[in-house]
Amino acid sequence: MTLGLVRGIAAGVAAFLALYFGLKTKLPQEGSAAISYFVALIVYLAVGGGWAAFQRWLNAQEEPELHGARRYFNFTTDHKVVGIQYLCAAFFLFFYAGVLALIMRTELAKPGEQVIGFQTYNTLVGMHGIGMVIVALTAIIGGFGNYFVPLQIGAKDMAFPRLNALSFWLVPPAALILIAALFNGGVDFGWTAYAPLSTRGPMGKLFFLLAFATAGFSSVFGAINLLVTIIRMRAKGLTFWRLPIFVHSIGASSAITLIATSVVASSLFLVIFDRVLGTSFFDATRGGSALLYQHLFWFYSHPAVYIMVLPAFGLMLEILPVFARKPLFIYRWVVISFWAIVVLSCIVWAHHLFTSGMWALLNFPFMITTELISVPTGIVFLAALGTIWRGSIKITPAFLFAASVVANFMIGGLTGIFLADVPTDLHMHDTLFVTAHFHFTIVGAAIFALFAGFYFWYPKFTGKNIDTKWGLIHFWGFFLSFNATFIPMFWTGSHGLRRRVADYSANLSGVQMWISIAAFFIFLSTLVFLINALRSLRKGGAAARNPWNAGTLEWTLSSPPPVHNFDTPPEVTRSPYSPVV
Amino acid sequence: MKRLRALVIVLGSAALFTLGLGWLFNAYPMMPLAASREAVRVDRAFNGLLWLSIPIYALVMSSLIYALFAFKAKDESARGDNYEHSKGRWVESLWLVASFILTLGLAGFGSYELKHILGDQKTADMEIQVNASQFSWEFFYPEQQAYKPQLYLPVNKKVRLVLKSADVLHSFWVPEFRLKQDVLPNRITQVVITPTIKGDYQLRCSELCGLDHTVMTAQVHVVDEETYAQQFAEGDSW
Repeated sequence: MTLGLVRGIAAGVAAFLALYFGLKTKLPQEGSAAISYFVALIVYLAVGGGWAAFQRWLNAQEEPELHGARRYFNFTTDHKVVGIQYLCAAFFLFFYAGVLALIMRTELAKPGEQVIGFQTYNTLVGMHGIGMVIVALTAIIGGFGNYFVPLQIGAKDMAFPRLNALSFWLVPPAALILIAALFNGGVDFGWTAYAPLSTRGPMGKLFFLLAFATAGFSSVFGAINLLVTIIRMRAKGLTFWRLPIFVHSIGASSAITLIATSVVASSLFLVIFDRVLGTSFFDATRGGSALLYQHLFWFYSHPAVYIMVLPAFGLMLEILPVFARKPLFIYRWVVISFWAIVVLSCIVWAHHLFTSGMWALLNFPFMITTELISVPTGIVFLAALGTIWRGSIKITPAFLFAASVVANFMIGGLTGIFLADVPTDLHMHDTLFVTAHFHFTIVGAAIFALFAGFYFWYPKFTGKNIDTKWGLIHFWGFFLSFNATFIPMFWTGSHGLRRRVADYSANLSGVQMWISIAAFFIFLSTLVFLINALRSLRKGGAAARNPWNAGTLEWTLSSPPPVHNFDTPPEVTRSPYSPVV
Repeated sequence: MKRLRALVIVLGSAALFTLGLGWLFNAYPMMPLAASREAVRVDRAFNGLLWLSIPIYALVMSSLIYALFAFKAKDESARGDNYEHSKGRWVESLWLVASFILTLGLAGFGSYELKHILGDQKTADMEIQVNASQFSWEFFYPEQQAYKPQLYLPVNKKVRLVLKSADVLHSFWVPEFRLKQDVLPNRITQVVITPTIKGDYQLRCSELCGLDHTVMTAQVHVVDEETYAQQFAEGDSW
């Protein structure tokens, strides 16, 4: 077979099944599943193309150049191919988790049981959650970060091309074992997998933990690579203060990944040890701590939201100046703010634990640090406003998606204050108010920026123009239905609707029906996007080198860029945002 | 002249926007019935934050929407202004200082309210034990030495609820009482509540505790002293 990915998955699945059923008679079920998974992972990587790549590395051979659609299914070190692989995988997962959300909304349209039982609902909540978290973590960083960071800094490839390939190749097995979890008892612990609930129950939970840990490794490898690339591979003259703002945001978010992800990966392994090896880190009945997991988990997972939104901020600020025909406002202040967010994001985690029963005095410092984050975040949004102010704005789908990040994040950020404030959080915690809040921050920033970037860079990475009229229809459909879906959730949450429950009191039924209908419009508008994106591939017409008149380096190349990017290493003499003379 | 016009339009529409949102939140209050003394304090914190965020939201949104209309490109080749920062950097400095002061003010306000909430938790008139397990609640009344599947609370009595879990994490929450407290398997937690309005409420487990988390609820009855005493006089009600 010429498709390495398919070959690898087939070999991996076969290895898993053979080993699992072989070992199950001799070992406990979960132990054999865990061992089988790690062996299958290595088999998959080796057969998929990793062994051949390893031999080429041993023999100091060049990586072969692959062409056509085939290269997207094979082990390749070309950062542009890896970027597209990430992007496609992310959109696939986005639709999968989106459909799960629609099933949940159908169940919630009326009180009582509808299409699925309460228990199935519970599993879908967790699957939707972790699916979308992986989308938000990988789409912009893995997709656009891989594709455009080397181009924007004038590099031929990433610093560690093989590591780059590996970080993508860890995503499909994570997705597969996550889907397999559905058929092995499911998960009943949301996406957070709080112990001690996660230390007991069906094997689906083990699969979920393995998937999360695998995605964590992928994330760390990607972050190392992006940081080293940004530091070491810049073109001549591309100083720190001349870097495109998107590159800065990727650098800052990679720093958070490196600091925090290993903590969550190790805590997931502790849970796996509790399940498989019989340790008792979190099992209270055997002397473990029921609170420890929450600290470890949120030490990563709160910074993780900044891993998701920093690149979104960067993309927003990359796109707004282009369409406002103006320099980026207070560029240096924004860069400093990004790094302030990196530092602050690591000392706020316990604001998820205000009701947890931790030492009460800890509430005060974590409330204060959490609210302090609004200062650097505020600077980012002042930069957005100042950039379009007195500009000469060209309204395009990319611009509208970028500008609406401001509108969405105002709601997401301001409602965040209610959750950072301990007195109000004691009421709002674990209600739909929180659900609405993080959808406004994560979807409102990361997904809107993902779409903004998609429309912005589509001509560059496909070589075709994307249809603007259907883009505008997608924008208005998505923006309006998104707001119509999530704004009412603040109200239902404060009126007593808990998170992750499939039933509610009858007085909420009108609002709930409205939310469910609006959610279907989100799906419809996303279909418009999908059809438009695919249709423009055929009918878009050849894209110009620099259709938007943008100043960063990727626009000096042909669309799509040649395999080795720059024939002659570029030299940079000015900031991409310096005033137009 | 042009700048003055922009300022007037933005501030004017921000003011209208604020009034509109203010009307909306008055007509459709965000908080449910406040049926405990602690709820009043939480609601005061909530309203304080609400009235602070509405004008901020209105101001930013008016500026954004105004910019979208006022600064639309006249033609393809048109360019915007060339500035990279405001003259003398006073806009961004003002924004930075204002947001810093605002944040510290918020933190101070929150700390003040929290200090009082925590202070209120120290004393209580009576005690009831709450036992949570997948997926039900059970209440032990030490004075009467009785177990019940429903929570009875005498009105206007400050009651300490001592929370214990038999298995995983749960959370004690009655929306009308506001305060929420997780229930842990290896440690006792507690929450002190003074119900002020008689009626029936629902206790909802609000920490995901397993497949049947949805149905882990219990009835809460706030009753007068007499009815409360009757509950135990009638013998074992379950």
